[in-house]
This record gives sequence, C-alpha cells and structure tokens, in this order.
Amino acid sequence: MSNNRYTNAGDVGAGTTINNMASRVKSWAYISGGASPVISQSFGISSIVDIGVGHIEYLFSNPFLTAFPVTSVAPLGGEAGFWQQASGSVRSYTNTSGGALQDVGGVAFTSNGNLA
Amino acid sequence: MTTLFDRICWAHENLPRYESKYCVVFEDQIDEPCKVLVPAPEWMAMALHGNLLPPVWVYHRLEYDDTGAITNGHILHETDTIGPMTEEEAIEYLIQKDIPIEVWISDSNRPRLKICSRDQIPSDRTFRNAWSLADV
Repeated sequence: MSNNRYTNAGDVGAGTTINNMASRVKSWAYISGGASPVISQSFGISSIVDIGVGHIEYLFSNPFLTAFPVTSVAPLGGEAGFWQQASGSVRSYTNTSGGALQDVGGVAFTSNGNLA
Repeated sequence: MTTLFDRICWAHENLPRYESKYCVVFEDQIDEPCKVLVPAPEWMAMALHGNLLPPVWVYHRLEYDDTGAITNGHILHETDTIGPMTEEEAIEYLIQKDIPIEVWISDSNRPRLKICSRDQIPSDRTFRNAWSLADV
C-alpha cells in the first residue's frame, strides 16, 4: 500500500472547479454528495476512501504527490478538498457560478517531495 | 523513458475518464465502520489504456528513510510498465495498492473486503458510522 494519502475531515460539496491555474497545476479532487461518492475532478488520484461521516481519504497514483487542504472554499462551506501543484503557486480560483473563491494562502505540494 | 508523473500528466490530457461500476468495501479496524474505496476515473483510464502504470509490486518495494522520504523512487519510473488491464484486474491492482495489506492478505475466516457494484452501497447515510461489511 502506498503511504501517500491525505485524509480530509469535514463534509464535502460539489460544483467547484478551479481554473486560471498556473502552469502544470493540475489537481482538484472532491466527492460530490450521496452514498456513492463520485470523483468529479482529479489529478494523480488513484482512489478515494469514504472512511465514515465527514472523513475522506485520497490515495495518490504517484507517491511524490502530496496535498494541502483547502479550508476556505467559501461557497461550499467548510473544507471541500485539496489542491496540489507541481511547480509555481496557485492563487486564483473560480467556482462554477463565477464567484471568486478566497485565496487559500499557503500552498502546496510537489511532484518531487519538496514543498513548492 | 518518462517518469510516472509525466505519464500521469499525459493521461490527464489525453485519456477520457472511465467511471468504474465497482467499489470495494473493507474493514481494517474491528471497532470502526467499514470503508468504501472508489476508484478514480482518471486512474481507471490509465489502467485500461495500459503502458502507463508500474506493476503494483513496485509500490510495495518503495523504501523510506527516517524522515519518511522515499529513497528509491526511481523504480517507479524505470520499471517496465504493465499492459492494459480489464476493469476487474484494475480493481484487484487498486486493492493491493490502496488497501492495507492485512485486509487483503488475511488468514482469518471472516471476510474483510467485498468488491461490489456501486448501487449496492446503502443510499441512506444516516447511520453511516454503523455500516459494516454485512450491510452490503
């Protein structure tokens, strides 16, 4: 079992996409509601595990990908997923309704095991 | 030779996502509710396409130093990739990669995982934290 995993506490919502991303910034994964989770956007994820109420675990295809929680995806409320990047930084998010999400600040993750 | 990351990037840009009809329900802690593993559509696309993923044993042979950093990550990139898998083979691969080994190699008589279709998962999550393997 690969050891690269990220557990996301808190219920998740659907309907958010990220665009305007920096070069090679790829990822966003979340689970839409319902009993049978659906990964609507993802990069570098091999699977997700529904652990129980409010807990989701993401498992990565590449152990050099890690993740940082997104805690301020305001339109959805609460923590809604994570994002990751390979280089550079991400500062701009847009949800599907067109409203700008908050800058989540800090960042990131890496494709080589180092903080970006 | 391309790195695993490069291959993931290529798949992200070029392969249509594949939503598996399967999920895996498993119990790794006796005092916790069962867990439900759902394959990622992008990963499934890579598995079905073939020649993108390393053999699953590569993940098990990764070595870590005291800080948790991988010291032999080159095997992810240098090991020959495996060919196309069927959906069922891909699920078996995922089980070995993403589920704790004590679940899928068990000498217990009690089953600890089930591969099932996603419509077998209860639709009411009211008592999610009481779900057990027997419920699916």
